[in-house]
Amino acid sequence: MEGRRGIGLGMMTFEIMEHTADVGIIAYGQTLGELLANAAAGMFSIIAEMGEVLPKESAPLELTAGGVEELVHGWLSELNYRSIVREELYVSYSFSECSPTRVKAMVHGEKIDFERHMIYTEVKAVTWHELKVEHLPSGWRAQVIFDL
Amino acid sequence: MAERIKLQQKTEFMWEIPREGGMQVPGRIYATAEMMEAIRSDNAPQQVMNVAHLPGIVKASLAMPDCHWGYGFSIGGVAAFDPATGVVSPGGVGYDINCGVRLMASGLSVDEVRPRLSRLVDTLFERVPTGVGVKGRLTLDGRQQREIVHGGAGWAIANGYGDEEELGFIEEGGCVGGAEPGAVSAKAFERGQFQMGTLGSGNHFLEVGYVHEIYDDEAAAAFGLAIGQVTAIIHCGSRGFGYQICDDSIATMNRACRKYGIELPDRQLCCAPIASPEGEHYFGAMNCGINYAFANRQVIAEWTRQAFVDALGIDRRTVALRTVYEVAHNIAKMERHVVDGKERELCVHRKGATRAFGPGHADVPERYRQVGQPVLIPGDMGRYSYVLTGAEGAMRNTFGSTCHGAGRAMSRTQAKKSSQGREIQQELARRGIVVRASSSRTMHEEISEAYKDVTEVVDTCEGAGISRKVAQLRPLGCIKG
Repeated sequence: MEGRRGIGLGMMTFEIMEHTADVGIIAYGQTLGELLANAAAGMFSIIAEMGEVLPKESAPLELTAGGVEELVHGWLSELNYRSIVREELYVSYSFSECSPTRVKAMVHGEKIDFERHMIYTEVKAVTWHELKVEHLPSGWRAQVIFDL
Repeated sequence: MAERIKLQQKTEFMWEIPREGGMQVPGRIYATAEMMEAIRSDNAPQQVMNVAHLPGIVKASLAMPDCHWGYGFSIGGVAAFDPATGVVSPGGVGYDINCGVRLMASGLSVDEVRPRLSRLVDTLFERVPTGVGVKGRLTLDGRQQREIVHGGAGWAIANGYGDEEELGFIEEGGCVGGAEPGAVSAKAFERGQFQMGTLGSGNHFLEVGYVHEIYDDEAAAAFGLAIGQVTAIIHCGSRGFGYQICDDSIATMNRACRKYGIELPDRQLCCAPIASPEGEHYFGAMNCGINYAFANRQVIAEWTRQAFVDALGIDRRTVALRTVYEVAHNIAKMERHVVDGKERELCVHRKGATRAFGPGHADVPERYRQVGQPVLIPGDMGRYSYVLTGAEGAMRNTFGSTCHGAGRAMSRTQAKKSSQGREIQQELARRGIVVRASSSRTMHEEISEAYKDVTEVVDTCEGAGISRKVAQLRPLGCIKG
């Protein structure tokens, strides 16, 4: 597994989970907001080299869901969809509301510059396969598999 | 988990999982004993069992020799459902609705193409957009998108991409009925707007190759294939338009399962009765995705033809890049099959499996009818691909279906690690294969060793009597995402 550590937290933010045909992530967070941000960071690390991406532009994102798994699925699907149709990459998120059934956030990132940004692959979809979101005593943990 | 599944070897090439618990029918996996070792270590047998639980499934839940773990249904899965009591499942089709393969054969020989091969591959790479975030050369407005979802490959031909007679050499004539654009979300149309005429990333490709070996002279002659003849293979599907339709449908189908009291061992298996508003809605949307993919491959086929003409400086009539056949390998549709001696209509799902209608079938183009439908099985970018023909055994045992490819043997990360430090493009060039890819990572992820040997897969299909080998194609050049 390729682990990534969060800055200053000493806590794992996400890990890449390998699968024969596709790729997944396990994301962590002390709060649900942190979990969503780390899951998004995991997904975008599969799509592109994110080191060069800056939070130059911001846009609002609001989402409702029937439960926390639907929320994680909907959040990542919406970001992937926006990234494709708007040709943008997102690096950070600020949440004004975040519960298992509702998210209100600002997403920060920039327009893809094909000269400067290294794009690896396309995420066809965020799958429901073995999708798991748990609230453990140590914090939140989500497992998500992407169809590439 | 697969170790505990009961697998009984029924023939040299077929294994059965007996019906137990909630299974409506048995599971059947087509594989040799050696292949079964690898298949057992994967979750595919469990997924074959899971599919056998679905309401209205007929005869058996099937898996082809290239089967491996998928979402809900295994890749290589085939299942047919009764239209009155059965279900339709987006997981039985996959995200890339009507992903498929077109084989084209030219009037040129390897010797005529090889001196200008690099130029040809470069021209293809310029003309056919590949990779992520690369917009196609076409931008579709709402009216054009509606025309495409109703017209399929026919739309492309009406707009100057190819010849009318090609339609007869595409599965379903390049267009299915029952497309309902009203069932497709605005998001899907938005994703589809810029992606017409694009290959995409991952394992999608356009390959120039040649006929290296012929196994069946009669069928090869019928398909117009001869040793040394240059070919082109296009492998792609419905792009973001189809992915979004599938994603949207899974949300609807999850609610439908609760509504109709369908209990599932895996959420990705979600489905709805064929004869329900949700089932009809999915069919209406999926049919739009199917037609988008037919149009996409038709547009790319025409650009391929033009690239041959321009790069080689040979006129169109001499290039003579003709569509041999185009198959879909991610699809669900209504077909007529004989079950227990009675012909009936069934909803056949093929997810990473190819239609392989045998000799004499009315849906096989007249030119090929005596030998059966051409089936195109791409391998990896360094070795070979196969042309097969549908066989009678497929009509009896697999709802007229066979395998679709080699299947991965390594994960993407494993492939990248094992090829670290290697110059894949140069390695292939030394073997006379010119490859251009949008991303060097793709090149490493798609190395030959990352895939199983497709020969084992097609030999198993031949052994099982579900298709017959006609020809082997070897690669000359390839463009990838």
